[in-house]
Amino acid sequence: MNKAFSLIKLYINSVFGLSAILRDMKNNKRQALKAIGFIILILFSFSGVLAMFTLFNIKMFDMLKPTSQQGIVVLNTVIMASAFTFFVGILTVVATYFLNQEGDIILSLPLKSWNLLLAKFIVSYISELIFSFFIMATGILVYGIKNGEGFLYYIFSIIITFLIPILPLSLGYFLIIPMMKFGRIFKNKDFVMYFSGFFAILIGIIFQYFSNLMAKPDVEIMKKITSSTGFFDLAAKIYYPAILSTKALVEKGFFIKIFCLITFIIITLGCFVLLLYLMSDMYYETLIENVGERKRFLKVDLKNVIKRKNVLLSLLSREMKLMNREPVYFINGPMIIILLPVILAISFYFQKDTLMTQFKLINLKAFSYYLNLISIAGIIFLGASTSIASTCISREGKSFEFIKSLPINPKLYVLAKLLHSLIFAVLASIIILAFDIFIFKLSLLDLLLIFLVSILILAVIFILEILIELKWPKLIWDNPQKAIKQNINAVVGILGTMGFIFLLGSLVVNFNIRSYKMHFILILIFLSLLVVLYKKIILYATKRFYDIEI
Amino acid sequence: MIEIKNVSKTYSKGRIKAVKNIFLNVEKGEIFGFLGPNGAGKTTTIKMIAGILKPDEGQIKVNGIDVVKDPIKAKMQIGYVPDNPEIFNRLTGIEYLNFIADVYEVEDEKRYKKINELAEMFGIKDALNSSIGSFSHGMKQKLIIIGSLIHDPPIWILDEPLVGLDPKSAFILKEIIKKHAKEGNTVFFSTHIMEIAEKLCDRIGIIKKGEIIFTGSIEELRSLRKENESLENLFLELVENE
Ligand SMILES: Nc1ncnc2c1ncn2[C@@H]1O[C@H](COP(=O)(O)OP(=O)(O)O)[C@@H](O)[C@H]1O
Ligand SMILES: [Mg+2]
Repeated sequence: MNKAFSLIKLYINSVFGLSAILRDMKNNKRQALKAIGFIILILFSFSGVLAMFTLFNIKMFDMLKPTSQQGIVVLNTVIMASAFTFFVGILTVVATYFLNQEGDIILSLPLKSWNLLLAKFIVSYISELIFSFFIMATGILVYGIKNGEGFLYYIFSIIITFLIPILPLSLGYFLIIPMMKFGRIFKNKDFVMYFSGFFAILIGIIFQYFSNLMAKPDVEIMKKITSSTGFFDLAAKIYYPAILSTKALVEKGFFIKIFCLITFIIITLGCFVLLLYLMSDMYYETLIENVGERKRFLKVDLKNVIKRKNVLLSLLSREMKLMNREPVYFINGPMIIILLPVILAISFYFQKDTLMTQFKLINLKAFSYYLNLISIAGIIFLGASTSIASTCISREGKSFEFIKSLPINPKLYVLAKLLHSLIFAVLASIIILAFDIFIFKLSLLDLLLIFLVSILILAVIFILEILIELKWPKLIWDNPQKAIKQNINAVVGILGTMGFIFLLGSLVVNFNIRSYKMHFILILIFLSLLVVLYKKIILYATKRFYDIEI
Repeated sequence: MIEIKNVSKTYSKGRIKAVKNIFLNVEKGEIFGFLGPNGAGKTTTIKMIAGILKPDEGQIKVNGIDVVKDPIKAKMQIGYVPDNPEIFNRLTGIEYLNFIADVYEVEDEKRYKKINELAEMFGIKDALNSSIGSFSHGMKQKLIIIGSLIHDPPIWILDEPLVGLDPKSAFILKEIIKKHAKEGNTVFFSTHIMEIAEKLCDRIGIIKKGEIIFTGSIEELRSLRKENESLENLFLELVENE
């Protein structure tokens, strides 16, 4: 048991990096502050969604109160939290299935197979708990306060909140472990990364869809989903434990409450124990097979593959390969360019009729002007959301030392990074322009202006992002996630770009700008900015490149 | 030729003194062994020669070129093998070698000859088209060694190159080191094992806690350690490391 605990501690540290934060608190205050600021930033971006949830629950409560059906509010949150842990749970299970440390070291330790599964389970459990805690809080508090519930209600709520993630997560493991065992493709780590990336984005879309629904609580929709044949009824039929936990909270009688709670606990823990009992060995086997698997090598004729390239092109091609082949980088970077437009196209397809009638109401000239501006905003957003420039030094990690040992001209080094981000910016612009051409049939002048303005602005943004990266690179990491997902520079880059787009948009709206003069002014401003900043970055890189030490 | 003059380096804003005012001269055609226990400052010194770290004070020249003042020209002279071969795991072996050769501006003909010969010797030719991430630790080390020789560097610097190599590869590497020096190039490598230095080096330098406590040939070391107790102790420590 002791061994299982140390393993749990190891896993938790490697996934959440807690000990690093604690260590930094003592030794490196600035680093710790950064990490904490980062967490607050994430919480902050979540707070909007939570507010929406809360609002939705309040509306629903008020609507259901006259028919004494307000308990559905609790049922709603329980189902939401369970569904969320189930789907996100599958994701974390897949993504953390093979942790780095899992290598030969841990498998060689004298650990029982259920120790390993338990440790891994707890890691996923903790992250699910954080999410489901917040989701539960929105409904529990609304119901509790508005219904004037007492002490017992809150005690039960806490117990149930802690239990809620266990059952969906166990089901997730019941699904995933056999898939890892028998599905060959899941053994490929890269495939697993791509899979979980796509899955995460899918969840994001569904989540977005629901949030949109909840943002404007419509009485009609509410009636539909709460009716006896509605969504909640259906969900509750599929997932009976949700009814149990809801009853434990909203029933009036004490004994029925206790009865429901205990039954819920028994089902939850029973399923969990069953998981450990039935699946541990299979889980262990999948880990062993993963370590044992080595790739076979492909022979080639050396003569055909040895080719000299221009240094700049060679640097550029290295950049692109390293980014596109690392799933973590690719999913959080360039893939967004492909994915976002696809999402856009799908949602456009579904709302085609309403959108088109709305378009027809706007006069044609104004329409093409605003579409022009929206396209510019879209390209800028897509271009910046690849995070290519804003993580360009950090992604090198400790290899940066090796780079420094090579006779690379810092000017070319930085130029390759700028080109890399610009290539993907152009790719983004092609996709957006394709929409403009084939669906909206914009004029050639419009297309040209869109392209020029957005690429110029992006070039300036990229240079600023690279400057930030040169100044504060995050080179010490053991997991590439940290270079892109937990990199403050990337967050600053995206938020900064969004802020800039917002600023530009509000300028247009406030001053009711409707003239293409603005485009020319923008081109003028950003062209001169580009010239100045380009000189600045070359100068800075030439010095700074040699000063960066790990 | 490597000239190190009065070089110091600190870490953590001066709190850790890793290298303290060292002087070293390594001549052309010489195999120089840089010997010292773990944490003595070997890697720090090597990283300064390779231009990865900037000395706090002092000056380093390779073939007469100042590493800090003229970094690109200086690095063109150097081939560097780091102590840890974990780099660019997402490239294939051949992509890596092509990249390195591009940076050192090596012609196709010459890079083919080098890669073919060395990969054959180390037995990793068939693996070159696979991703470095699928290589074993030793294979990665061999790949980096090949890369570091691709431009026939007049100055070859290796940080603990024999750690983690199997005996056969270690033997091959020692032969390559000898050959490279015989062709008139400078070889500078670090180790914490006395025996390796004894067998391979023309001259050795011993570093301890950031200070050079001895430079000279093995014979000079033998005669000196009888008289100098701390040198004798260190010698024993380094021998025990085996
Ligand atoms: N990046 C670093 N930050 C702080 N201290 C370091 C760093 N790198 C090395 N040191 C310290 O500097 C000293 C010399 O280290 P190093 O040059 O790696 O020695 P060696 O290669 O001889 O084992 C050691 O005390 C080590 O702990
Ligand atoms: Mg070392």
